[in-house]
Amino acid sequence: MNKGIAIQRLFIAALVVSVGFFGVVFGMIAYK
Amino acid sequence: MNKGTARQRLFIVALLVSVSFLSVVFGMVAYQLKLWPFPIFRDAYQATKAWREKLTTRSRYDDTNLFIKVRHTNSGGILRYNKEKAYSGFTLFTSVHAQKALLISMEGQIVHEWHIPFSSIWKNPPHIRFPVSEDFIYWGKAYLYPNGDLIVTIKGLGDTPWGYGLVKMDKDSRIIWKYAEHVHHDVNVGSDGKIYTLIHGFTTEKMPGIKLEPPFLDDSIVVLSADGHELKRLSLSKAFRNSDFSNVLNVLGDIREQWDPWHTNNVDILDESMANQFPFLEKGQVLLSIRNIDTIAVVDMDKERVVWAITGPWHRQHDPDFLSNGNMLIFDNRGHYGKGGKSRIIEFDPMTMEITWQYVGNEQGIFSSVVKGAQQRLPNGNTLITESLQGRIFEVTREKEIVWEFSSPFRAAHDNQLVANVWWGQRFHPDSLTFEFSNLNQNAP
Repeated sequence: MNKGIAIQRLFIAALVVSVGFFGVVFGMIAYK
Repeated sequence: MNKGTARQRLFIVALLVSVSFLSVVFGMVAYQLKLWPFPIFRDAYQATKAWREKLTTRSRYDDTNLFIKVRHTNSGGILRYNKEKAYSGFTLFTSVHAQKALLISMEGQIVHEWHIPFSSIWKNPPHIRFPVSEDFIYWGKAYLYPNGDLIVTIKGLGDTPWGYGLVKMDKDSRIIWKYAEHVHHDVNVGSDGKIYTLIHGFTTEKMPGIKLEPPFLDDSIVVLSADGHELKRLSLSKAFRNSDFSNVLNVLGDIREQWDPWHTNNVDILDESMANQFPFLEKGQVLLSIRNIDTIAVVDMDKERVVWAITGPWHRQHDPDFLSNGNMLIFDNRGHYGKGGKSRIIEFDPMTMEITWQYVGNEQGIFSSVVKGAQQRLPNGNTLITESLQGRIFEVTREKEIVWEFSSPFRAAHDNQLVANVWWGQRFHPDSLTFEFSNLNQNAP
């Protein structure tokens, strides 16, 4: 796996985690 | 873009949409079921909110209810005095304009005062990490001994817990002892010299029987020796849990102020002279007023349980008193729905709950203090009423005639139209005070 692909996958993983985090926060606020 | 790359991008987009959808659903479920990570976010939110409130409360005139617009234009002092009908004596009161207790004559002259700033009592208070500024610290209930010694509760507005401690001083305001705990609202002394007061503090563990998520403030009754050493501490949650009145705990989960479910504001001791009038109680038991559940309760400190509890036709009440005729007297802050203000004083029979006497305001003379407040049945049958928010102490006869009226002269801001709350007022017969007054020889102020 070259460096470019590794960075890309890392970026996608970070994006998924961020979306998950903000989704949970949004879900709690929306339900409140 | 080749087919593989397009499929990969579609997958990522689908992944993000799915993750966002599932995480929103999970967030809702976590909120409802209080699952991780909800408690972390809730605590962070509450802490931020409390911290923000502490930082943004800058003016005690505009940002708090310590000073309220005075209802009737006057500059304060004695507004009415019927010498024939009033119970003559000296009136002790604490006012939030300063950390002071004042003793005034029937004519309104200050004959003695007690005063110690909080920073002189505790330079580095061991029980408070970041105290609010002196402007927001004030004295609550004061207990006066015949020799001029005084015990006062101290409060810090805008802080949580707001109980700032208990101090006993002599007639010249020199500290005799101090009790560094979150003492709040009330203090009283039993016939054996023991001191009864209230403390509160955050509980961080879930309590059995209570449908409330910690952290929340739990109140405790504390008994101190005459020299200020703690002898006993009893959690109100425990006292209810051990009793036949444990159903009260179920109510706590439904109340608005979940961070402060009890808000106990009174502790009185049933002494020997009154015990015979209340055959369902025993001497030495302790009478509490629990504001946030509109309940008054009696606790046996030896058995560590509530022995009697009742809610009645009052709302957000203060200062229940045992009376020598077997009735009780209470300051009902928000239970009057007619004209003349929201508050009333009720005398009622605790066995039948029949109201035997009440004082309410009228359109000419509003009576309303939605928080705080106190009353005292005087030996001649009159009642001394502290209408805290209006800085007013007045005495009424059984026929509801006002025979003495004092309006606090401690005014501030907005053309002096804001009056300082009077926390507590109490009348003393001159023979019951044996110390020499400092005779400041001045009208208040």
